[in-house]
Amino acid sequence: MSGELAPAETALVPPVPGVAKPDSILVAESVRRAFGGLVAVAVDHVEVQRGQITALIGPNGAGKTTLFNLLTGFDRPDAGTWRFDGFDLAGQPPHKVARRGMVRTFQLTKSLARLSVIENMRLGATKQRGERMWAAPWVFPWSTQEREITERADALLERFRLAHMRDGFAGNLSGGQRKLLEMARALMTEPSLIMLDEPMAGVNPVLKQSLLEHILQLKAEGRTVLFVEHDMDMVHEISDWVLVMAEGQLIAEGTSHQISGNEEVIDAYLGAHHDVDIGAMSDTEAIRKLGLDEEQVSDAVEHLAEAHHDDTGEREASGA
Amino acid sequence: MNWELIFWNAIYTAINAGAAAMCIVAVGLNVHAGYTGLLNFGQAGFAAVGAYAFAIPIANYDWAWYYAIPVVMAASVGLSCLLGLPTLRLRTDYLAIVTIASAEIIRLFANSTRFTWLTGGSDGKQGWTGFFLDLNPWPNGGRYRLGAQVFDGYRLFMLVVGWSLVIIVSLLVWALMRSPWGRVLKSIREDEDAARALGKNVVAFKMQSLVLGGLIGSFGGLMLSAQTQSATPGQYATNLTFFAFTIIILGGLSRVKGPIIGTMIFLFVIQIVDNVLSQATRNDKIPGWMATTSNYSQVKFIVAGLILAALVVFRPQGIFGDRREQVFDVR
Amino acid sequence: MSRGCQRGAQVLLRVLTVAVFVALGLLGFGGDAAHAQGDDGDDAAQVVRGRVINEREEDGERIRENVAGVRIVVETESGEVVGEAVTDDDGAYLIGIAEPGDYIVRLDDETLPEGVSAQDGEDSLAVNVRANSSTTRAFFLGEDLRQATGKLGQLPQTLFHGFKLATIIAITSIGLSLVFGTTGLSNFAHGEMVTFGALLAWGLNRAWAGVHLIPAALVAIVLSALAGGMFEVGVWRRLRRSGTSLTSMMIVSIGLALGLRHLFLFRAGGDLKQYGQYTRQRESLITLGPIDLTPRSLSIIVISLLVILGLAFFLLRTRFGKAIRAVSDNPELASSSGIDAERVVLVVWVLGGALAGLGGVFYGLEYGIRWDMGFTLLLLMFAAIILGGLGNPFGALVGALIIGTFVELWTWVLPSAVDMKNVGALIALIALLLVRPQGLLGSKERVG
Repeated sequence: MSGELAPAETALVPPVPGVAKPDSILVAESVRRAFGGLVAVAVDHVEVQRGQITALIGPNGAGKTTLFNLLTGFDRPDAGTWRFDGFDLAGQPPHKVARRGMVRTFQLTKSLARLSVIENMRLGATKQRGERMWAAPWVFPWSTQEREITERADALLERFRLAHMRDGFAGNLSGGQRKLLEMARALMTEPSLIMLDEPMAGVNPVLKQSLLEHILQLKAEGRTVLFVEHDMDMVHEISDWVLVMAEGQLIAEGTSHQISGNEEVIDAYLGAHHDVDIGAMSDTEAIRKLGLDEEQVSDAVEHLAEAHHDDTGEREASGA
Repeated sequence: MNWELIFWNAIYTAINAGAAAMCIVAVGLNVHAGYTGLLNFGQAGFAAVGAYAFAIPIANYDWAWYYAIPVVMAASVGLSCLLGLPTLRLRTDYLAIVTIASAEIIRLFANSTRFTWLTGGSDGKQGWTGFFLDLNPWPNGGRYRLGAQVFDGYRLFMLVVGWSLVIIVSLLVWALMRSPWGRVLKSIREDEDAARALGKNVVAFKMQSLVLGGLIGSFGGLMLSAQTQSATPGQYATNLTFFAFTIIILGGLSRVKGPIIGTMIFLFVIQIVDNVLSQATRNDKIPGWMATTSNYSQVKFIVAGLILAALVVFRPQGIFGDRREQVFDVR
Repeated sequence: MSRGCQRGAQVLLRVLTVAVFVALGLLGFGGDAAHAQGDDGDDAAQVVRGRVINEREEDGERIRENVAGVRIVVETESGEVVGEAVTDDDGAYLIGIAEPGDYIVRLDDETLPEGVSAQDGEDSLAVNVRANSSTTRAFFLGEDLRQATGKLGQLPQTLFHGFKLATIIAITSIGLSLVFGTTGLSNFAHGEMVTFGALLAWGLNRAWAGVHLIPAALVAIVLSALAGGMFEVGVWRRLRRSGTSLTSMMIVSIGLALGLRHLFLFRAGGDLKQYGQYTRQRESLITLGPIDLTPRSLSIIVISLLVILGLAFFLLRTRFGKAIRAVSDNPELASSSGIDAERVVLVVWVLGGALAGLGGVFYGLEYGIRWDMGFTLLLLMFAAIILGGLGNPFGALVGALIIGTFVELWTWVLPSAVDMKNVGALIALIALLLVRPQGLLGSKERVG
């Protein structure tokens, strides 16, 4: 699993943020979203390779979920365009995005509690004739299709080991079972790209393995997977490619191996100069190691002393 | 105190044409609030539109009643569109406020002296129920008896027509709600975003639900006026909507039998209160400072309001519902 | 369709819908309303009769003259009309009543001649019709100084009335807005708190005792404040603690509102009431440029403005005011910084109750007291708050100004549609929600 690059193509792709992929299913350009004065997303260019499992990682507040929301139509960008499978999807409402084949799950699972598990599943199927108001009261226009949908649903429930809960309320499922249900339900839409928002959040280790296997199964079926995660083990285990975001920007991408050695990525997570142990050095050594100017620092210290004396508090940080 | 009359009159009120009409209005509201989660507090507006759209062509312009039916449908759908556009993407309390405001606008419209030439103002519209009288298979003046309660042939006919309509409408709702279309509505009630993420056009479905519930409500309003043989603005005050809400909660939200059972129980209870007070005040059983013959009729509204509040707090699943099937927001 | 084109189409659609709403509101406002025929007094066993008399001054002499063509309506307390008539050349009317009982005899303002109105706003009188009796009720009219000048000349006066209404809406709606901000509840029973204050003051002032209005009003305000606190402790706090959803609580408030409204009707009757003092001030008008105002109106505006300024200072400068704003913004964060959120909410309810009571007395002074005055005002309050931006108390002020002005301007533009003047404000609300759901000052969070 780890380091195994399925298509030979990605071995040739340089690990540069915004790099083009041999067969992209999703290409996004100049995506911007700001909330008031805060820039949440500012991605110049990003591509997702078809048929692979891509991870989207980054520290909290990096803009990962916002980007998800934007791409799937749950939020409107200030600027930007993106194409999915050749279709221009920017500004499309979420249900249209889903119908094109780009389906997402949610961080807080949205299992429809007062519907039964099987009804949850049936809901996922697209192009249902029975959903048209005129055809709905008379059973015969949609009864055959409903039977097919139910068969597919039951098969998926078997696969996800939820079949025994089939007729109970979704609200009675445990947290982990709800995650499985949400993934199974998303599969009913037959998506080309399935976007998972923190699928491992709050999940016990046994279930984690199960979920990992399900995700790999998706790839085996030929689907593309993009998921947001904090769990680095999972990222290393199954991802073919990793995108790294920080402060709204795409700061790095590459295989999980290439990413784990990347300075910028580490800095983004841990803050700059995390590996510098200044306690064991002399003052001047420490100053130089931190990349600071000796004279500047002494001046600054003098100023600080005066300021403290005068009771005005203005701290000036001299940094790299 | 004539307890026989008190009781039988209450039973009669719970099953007569007025009750059937109330039930139909409640079925419409159940489609909105019970199944889809749309808190439409302007159902009285739909009912008013139904009654007036039927009465005006017949009374003012001498149309035959079967031509007036399409007018009712067109007016109701028109109101749904007008109301739906601004409100369907707003959240719950905005929707409630705007729908209450709309129903008030409609009532003020019907009541205003400016439009008396059209709506009959505060007197309302009369003289459009002739064809009902003609269609009646029973003699209009005939006397019929239910226990100690006596009523005439017209009322009997209206009762039958009314409850037949209830059955037809309930069957329609049942058929729709067990279909995939109904499934989408229920999912919207649970979580709109989940429905969207599965490719469902939520706004379109909400609109369809609004139109359906509005149409049903309009026909209910029509029946309400038909049985009193007059369409007046006073019948369509906000009280009507609140009664409908109490009824659907009492009977159990998103249940087909809910509005029927709720109507009967609610109207029975309210009428008992009213009847007891009516006789008690007339026979000096109650001290004058507590209640008099002229103000006792308000007590039933006070009781109704308290029932609504108490239901929501203590038993939101209604009489037959399961506590686990919590009402409104589960979040 | 390109995105720009899509946006354009959306805006066009919204503008069209607004236009439709506005057009609907203005449709058909031309020509006179037909006068209804009088009910025959012959068949009924009991009648209500009387005269409409206009009193005016000419050359220092008091003159009384009969007024013909005025429509008189007899209705039940809940508004159901049981009979009506139009006064003849002698200014007399006679209405047969089918059933004995308590009714209200009302003068239709629309049918009054230009320049006059019922004295002291007393256009409705209670009457107890006994079997086989004849009951007499007379209406006295006096000069209505508002309509003395031409249309454009009336504009400043109209705007002034709008401003006056706006201050009353502002005081009453701030409480509603603060409750929404701190607890998230849209309290539909807030209107009834206004009525409660007004009725309580009236009770002390006229019905149960003869207490002068000012002490009566103060007592009413204190009791309203207490009522607000009691509601919070007895009802809302418990519901919040037991995890009731906001939607359910909103419906509970609706049920309470219904019950309270009819309780008021039950106990106080359906006629329009007036306070004992400060209502007849026709003689002591003050003139400020193009505007004539009664000392009462002036006092109300001044007091209201002082109250609003005081509130603004309280919310912006004092520690408790900041605590209120903190809880409105983020209750959990506020709690963890040591603010007792429950106490803040209680104070908000008490304050809201007091303001509602004060606003109720003011509204009653200006427009009379009715059992459903709160409900009418509630819709205007919601309109003001939503217009200004939910959750922002200063938004309520801006919204109140707009709504108050709009309502009075409606009567200026369409003097024949006075009974629908609230419609204008409601239509404005719906129209605004189409274009800008977060209101004028609200933040663009998800409204849907």
